Amino acid sequence: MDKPVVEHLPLPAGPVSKWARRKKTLYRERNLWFISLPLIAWVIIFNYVPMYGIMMAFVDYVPGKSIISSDWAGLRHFKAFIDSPDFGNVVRNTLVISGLNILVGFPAPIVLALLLNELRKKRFKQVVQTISYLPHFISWVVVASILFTLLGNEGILNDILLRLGIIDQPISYLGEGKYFWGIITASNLWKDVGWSTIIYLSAMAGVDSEVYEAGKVDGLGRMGAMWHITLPGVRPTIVLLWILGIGGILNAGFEQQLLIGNSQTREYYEVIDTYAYKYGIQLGNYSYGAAVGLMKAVIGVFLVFSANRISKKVLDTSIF
Amino acid sequence: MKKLLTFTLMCTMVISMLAGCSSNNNEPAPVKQNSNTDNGNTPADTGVEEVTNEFGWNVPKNTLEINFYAGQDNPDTVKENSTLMQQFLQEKFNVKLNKIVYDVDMNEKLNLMLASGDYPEVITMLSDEQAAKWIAQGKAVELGQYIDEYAPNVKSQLGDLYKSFLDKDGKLYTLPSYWGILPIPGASGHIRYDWWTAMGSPAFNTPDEFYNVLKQMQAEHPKNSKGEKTYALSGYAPMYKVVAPTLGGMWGLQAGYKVDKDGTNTHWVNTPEGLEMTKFMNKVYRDGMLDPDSFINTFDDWKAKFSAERVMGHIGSWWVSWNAGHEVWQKTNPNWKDEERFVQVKVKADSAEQAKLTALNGRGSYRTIITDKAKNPEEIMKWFNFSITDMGTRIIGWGVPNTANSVWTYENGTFKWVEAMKKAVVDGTYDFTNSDKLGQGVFTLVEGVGTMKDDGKSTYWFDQNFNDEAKWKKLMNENLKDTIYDNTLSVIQIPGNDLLAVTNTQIEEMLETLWAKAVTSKTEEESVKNFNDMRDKLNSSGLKDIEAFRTKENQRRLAEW
Repeated sequence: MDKPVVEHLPLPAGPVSKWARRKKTLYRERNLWFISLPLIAWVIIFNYVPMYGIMMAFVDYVPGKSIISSDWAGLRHFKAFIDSPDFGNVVRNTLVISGLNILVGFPAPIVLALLLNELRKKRFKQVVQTISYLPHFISWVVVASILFTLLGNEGILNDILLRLGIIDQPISYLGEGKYFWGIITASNLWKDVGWSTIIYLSAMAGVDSEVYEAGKVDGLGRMGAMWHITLPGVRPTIVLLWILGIGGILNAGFEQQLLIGNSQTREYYEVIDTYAYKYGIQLGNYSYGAAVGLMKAVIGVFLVFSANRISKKVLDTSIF
Repeated sequence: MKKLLTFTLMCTMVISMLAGCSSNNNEPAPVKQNSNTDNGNTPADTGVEEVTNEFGWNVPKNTLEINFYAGQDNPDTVKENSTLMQQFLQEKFNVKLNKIVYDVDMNEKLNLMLASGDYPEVITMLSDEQAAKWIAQGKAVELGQYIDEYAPNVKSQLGDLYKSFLDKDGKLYTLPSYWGILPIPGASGHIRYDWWTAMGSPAFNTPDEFYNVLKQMQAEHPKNSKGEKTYALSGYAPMYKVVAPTLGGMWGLQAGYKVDKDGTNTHWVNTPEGLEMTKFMNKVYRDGMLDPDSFINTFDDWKAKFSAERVMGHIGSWWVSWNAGHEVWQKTNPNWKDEERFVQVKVKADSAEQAKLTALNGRGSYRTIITDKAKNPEEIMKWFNFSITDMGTRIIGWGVPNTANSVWTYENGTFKWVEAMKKAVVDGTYDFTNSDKLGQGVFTLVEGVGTMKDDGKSTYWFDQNFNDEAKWKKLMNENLKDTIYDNTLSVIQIPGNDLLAVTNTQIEEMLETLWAKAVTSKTEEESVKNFNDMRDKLNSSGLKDIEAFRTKENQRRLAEW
């Protein structure tokens, strides 16, 4: 009697068949999974296991004691942050500085990439690109000292304005809060605009040249090609970076604030990260710092999901 | 073959990664207290004292090694400055002191030490709030149990102060790193002496008169030799700490607070004196006499301007105008004259009964603890017992004696100053890098900085021993003799684990920002408005709670100390 060939029989429909299909797929891709195992383990060990530290935000942690054995604080640290006199300023500064960075810093590399993409002389294009990348490699410490030299009370700009008779007293650009947001936005832009073009330029390089040929035949000029071919060609990249940018809207910077800001501009420079550092790490109130950081992270995740959902509905493009 | 290769590769990666994550035994390595023996350090092993040396220390048979953490500093510099003194103590006392410092914020390092369990047997230069954290964690050894048997000098030297270090249960966990009162000035107004005498030495007493003299001086020296703009006054951040306490002292405030006889503490922003001193600074600013970067400058920025002769006055610690003034000029200018310097002067508002410029704190601001890592706290206490004596204080404070560059000699039970060194101090030409090399102060753990009991005049600070003979120090002391006061009861720290400590930091940061705004206002009306806004904002942010905390603690001290 022949042995029935069970494995070749059609699988029953429903959830069981779905699970079996998954098992089959897993078995088929087992080599890939084996290779991925170390990375999965890496992510679990280094990205998920340390998350137990989030607990710190809900207890009164004291260094030397374990988090588990610390006294339970519930939401007290979150409440303390919300009730603190700095809360309004810190949240406002974070949102404004990030908002300005997105408003100015997001389109700027797209425009620069479009312009660079239009350059015909390869050598010139390379030189311009390289020069535009360079500021990215300059540390914020150096940028801060450049700013002090340029914008200080005795800096170059004040010197020029005084000599030209435009002002009779130096303007304290770095000592007056009203200038801080502009200075930090301009510094971020100067530092990163070139570097951020890389991803757009590579996306533009991927646009099929035949589409440009077809556009030419249809009478498109360079501006028209840019608008109707290049930009739509890189739209998925733009959307992807925009969603990620929204997720990072609460990452308004850290070292630039600490280096360029000072006591006179504190009302305009203090952002969530610098606040968490000062009151969490420097004061040794780790639970308070953890609560502030966690609050920021939760809002960030919420913003990413929201931006992704909006993008999916409006532009039919999303990252997950 | 392919599967085998994949499997092998995967296993290798997982194993190598997990190997890197293997748990680390957090148990700290045992701290060695006795370098000559590897066995335990029971008192019987180390306590066999065979000889008493010429300084009165019973030299232990085996080397007593004490490792102590002393906060943030440059490890290379500290190592270099420790070498000579370390050799001396090892040779003469059979005691090896190892000072540990890191170029990292002390608070962060202490928290890391607590979390990791990796710390030495002694920690010094702790604030009260930092020490409280170690005590609460059970990491600090109770020292009271050793006092009578091993360290009676600690009790006798501290005298009445001793009980102020006991907690509410009568336990002793901390000792002062520095303690005692030396009635010499610490802060004042400053003025460029040669320029002032060139003006005919116009007299001044009140802040307004001080302002007028500085204004006239700035008019006569609007630019330095390089053509750079000069200022009557400058400062460096944080101004609420650097300038405000001394400035408030001109109106009779005590280190930034009005302290009533019953112990009530009122912060200067809640006093009419606070408004007056703000208006004074605003007037200086509006007249272009205040360096506009005063609230931004670091000490080094300020020092660069000061050394470049761009500043003609100062309000704050006495030593800064020496350090940034003539001590720089005498090295850089071969034609420097003795009168080219700043002198420290008394300034008192008419409304104040007394100018309170120098706040003395008999308990000192820093603490030393013995941690639970110490295997023989008794032996460490014995060292404290010697170190706190007048002779111990001389050695620790004045550095190694009897060498070519020493500042003192000690022979046949008598100490003498080295005349050349004394003369250099008196003449104001002493090179303080020599003090560093001699290890002056490098191993400070429980030193008294007041007047020594044995001769009634010596003091820990080498250069303060000749104040009556040093022309400029004498002038300073005479100028400021009635500006010094004992503020021991009002030096109050908020415990770090109290949420009020967060409020206090917020208040201090806001104070600096808002005071800068009030000082740099364009008109006096605007300045007054900004001062009032600052006061309201700080009060609504918790300043009243801080005042209440300080008042309660001050009143407790009045009753118990």
